[in-house]
Amino acid sequence: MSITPVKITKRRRNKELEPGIYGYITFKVIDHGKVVLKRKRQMHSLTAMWFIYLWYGYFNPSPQATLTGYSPNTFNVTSITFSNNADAFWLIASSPYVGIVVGTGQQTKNPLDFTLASPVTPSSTGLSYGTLSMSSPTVSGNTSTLSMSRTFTNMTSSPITLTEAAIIVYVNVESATSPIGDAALAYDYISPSITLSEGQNLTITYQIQVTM
Amino acid sequence: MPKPLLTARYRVVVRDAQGRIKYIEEAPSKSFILNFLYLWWLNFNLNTTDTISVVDSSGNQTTTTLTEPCGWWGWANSQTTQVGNPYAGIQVGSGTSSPSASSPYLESLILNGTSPGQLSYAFNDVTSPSVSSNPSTIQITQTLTNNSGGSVTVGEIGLATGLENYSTNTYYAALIIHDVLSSAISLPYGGTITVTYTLQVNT
Repeated sequence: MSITPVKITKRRRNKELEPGIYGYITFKVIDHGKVVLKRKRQMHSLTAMWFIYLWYGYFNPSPQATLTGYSPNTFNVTSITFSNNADAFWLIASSPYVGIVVGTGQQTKNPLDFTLASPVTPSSTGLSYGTLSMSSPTVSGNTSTLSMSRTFTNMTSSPITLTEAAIIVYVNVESATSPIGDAALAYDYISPSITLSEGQNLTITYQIQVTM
Repeated sequence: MPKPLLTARYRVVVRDAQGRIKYIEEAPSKSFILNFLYLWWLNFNLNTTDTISVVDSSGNQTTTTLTEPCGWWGWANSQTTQVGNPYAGIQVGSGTSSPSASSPYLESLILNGTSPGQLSYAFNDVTSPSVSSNPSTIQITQTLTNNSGGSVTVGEIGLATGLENYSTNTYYAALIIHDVLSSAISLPYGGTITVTYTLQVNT
């Protein structure tokens, strides 16, 4: 019986973009109905949550681990312990504490950081968090895209300077009937910072793209 | 040039019946597919009902409608209880057509068994994630043995996740990565093919 002789193949590609998962963030500030700032940049920011999600959710070999995140629907830092049968993470649009959140601090990026340096608590008299919106994935040629966005409004008479943003997800385990905590799936700097004056809106849109 | 947040590489090692390495192919994975985003979407669920293409526990290509976030879990369990599962974890097939973003299946999945054209799947061996440095990585490896009595052609590989539809307590597998090898491999009787996917997050 004959088989292919030994050879080592290194395949190379000449396309512009390396195949993989890409992320982009768009910031748009609106003042009295007029766009006064629009900026788009690349995400560099998935945390290890994605792997924890794979490891504890997808492959489920029943290990245990603890990470530092938030108590559900708060920005109160707490320990979250995964145990047997940890499974999915997800967002719920009705909570301002999950989905896209913003802060006024900044920290060195670390894949094991699952909180913001200084998150801004949602408030109807402070920084108002709008409803998270998402669109189902779309495909165009070799690129598929999933988008989510949220609008923040400065309800105060003082400026608010934002320097960080994150995607926070609920963490759930199968044995629990409600999320056991919240943790960052992605963390990004807002750099340069964005200062919202009274009444101004900031819309942040995250786009996750699969490029073949 | 934008840098991807997440990439994958595959490595294929073919051995003959005596364990001698006969072929190695290593390359960047070309093809995360649309299903990958659908699984994020379904886990990010905003109380939306949606349908995803999957394989059921009998290997049937079907769809399942999810009314709440799905669990990505256990069906691809890395340990011995999942030996012989050709659906969740690493898949191999005999197809050679280029993957498309919207195609949720291998072209021609090779089933687990010892009949002609089949391969014996072992378990999906998963490394603990390495997250202490940048980039973070995780590896999934599957070794298949040809006990079919003849040669078996392998032209494509993929990675699928197990998922649970909580409303029906039913388990499925959903393909998230699909790659075609540079050329089809003829795996001899008694030989093995080891497929490793390495997923990498660039922080």
